[in-house]
Amino acid sequence: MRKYIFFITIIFIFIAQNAIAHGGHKKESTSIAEAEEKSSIDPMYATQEEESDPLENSGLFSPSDLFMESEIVPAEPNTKTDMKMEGSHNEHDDPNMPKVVSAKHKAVETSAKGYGIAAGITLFAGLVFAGLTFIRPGE
Amino acid sequence: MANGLTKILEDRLGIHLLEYDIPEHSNSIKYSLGGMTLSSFGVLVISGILLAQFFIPDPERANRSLHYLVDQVYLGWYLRGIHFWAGEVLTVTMILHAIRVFFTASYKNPREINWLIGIGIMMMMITLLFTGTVLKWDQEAYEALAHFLWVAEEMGPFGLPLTEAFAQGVPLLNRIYMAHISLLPIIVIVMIGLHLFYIKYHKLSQLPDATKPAKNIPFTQHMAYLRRAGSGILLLICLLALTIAPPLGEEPVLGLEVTKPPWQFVWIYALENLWVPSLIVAPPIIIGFLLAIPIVDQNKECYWKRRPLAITVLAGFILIFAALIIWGSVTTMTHSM
Repeated sequence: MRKYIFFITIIFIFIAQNAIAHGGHKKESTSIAEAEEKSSIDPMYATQEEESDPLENSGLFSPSDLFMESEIVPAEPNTKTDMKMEGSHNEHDDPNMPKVVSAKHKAVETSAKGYGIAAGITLFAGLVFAGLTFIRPGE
Repeated sequence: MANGLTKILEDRLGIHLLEYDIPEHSNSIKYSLGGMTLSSFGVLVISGILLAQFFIPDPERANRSLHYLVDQVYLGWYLRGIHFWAGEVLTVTMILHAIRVFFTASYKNPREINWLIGIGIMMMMITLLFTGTVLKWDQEAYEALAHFLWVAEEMGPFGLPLTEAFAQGVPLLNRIYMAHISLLPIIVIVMIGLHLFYIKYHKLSQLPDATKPAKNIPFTQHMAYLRRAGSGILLLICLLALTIAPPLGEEPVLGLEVTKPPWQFVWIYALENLWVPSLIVAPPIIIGFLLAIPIVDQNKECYWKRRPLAITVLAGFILIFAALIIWGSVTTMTHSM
């Protein structure tokens, strides 16, 4: 039994680490990414400035591929603007630029479709594990 | 009647071939971590096949199809949760398995090849994790792919097959999807088959501190143990899927960098923050280091107390990674790439 407790503890330590990792997201999600005036210290694509976004020639990353007409966002900032990293050293307010909120883990709501069945499946998995643990067939 | 039927099935299926002896210590958690990883992989394959029925690998619709799955399809959120958490649990058990193999020196003669195959499987799993992250096509996915393409471009002709220029007109997301659901799983399954074959061929390693040969048990008894361990893993995955929904953002805004990678990749995010070219340099150095272990370490000693250098290296490796993951989780990007 102690071995199982130890193992489950290890698993949850990693999961807690996961939570810490996404804690970074959490912090960032409270702030909003915004574009601002072009600067030579663009965090992500500074070395690509002359060539702009390395993905720009990709059809995959064309705004028209990603969004419907009404949702098209500026994929390539105009020559006087550039995107800045959110939450760091470059934050300005520009209401015209798209806002991005980082995705994060959420608690599942009990109103989710099929939650009762999902709980039943989980319970069944628990019963199988409990049964195998107590009876131990073949061991 | 039942016994007769069982005997007929055993004769026809050759189940008696599984009655071979293996060391008794195989029925322990630390020697079953590989089996637990395999259980998670099985869950990933089954849930992945189901997910594929709802996913549209098209840049315009990929993210929306996932939102539709999660919000509108009956049990869709649960299915996606199971797939996501199976990947998380697999990562943990796989890392613990590798640490156990190193700790007990199970990579040493004559099992060097199996260590190399295991590292290969680990690399493939990480690639699957990466491609899976990209497929959801939200901001995190876009940024992950942007970094990957930057590395591919820096690699010049070697990186060309990984870019869209290799197959112009074909959206990269389609190719990534193909890799995620067919190419990579096929490679992994073949490598797992080889891994299991060499475990059988060389037999499970003895306990490092054993003074006499271990007591044996039939392999079927180990299979029964793994069945229980696998059901425990499934229960854990189901519980996590039932309670915590994995992140899923909206369609990406190009040119922004606002997210952090999943925790499995946060260490490289931290390294990138220190020195951008580490995106290119760090992975091959780490892979090379892991592959070199059985070649460099020719010491026949297996017990950890008599391998101070190896254990120090292992502890240092774990500490550095843990520190980078924690630091990468709390820091914000300050570099220019």
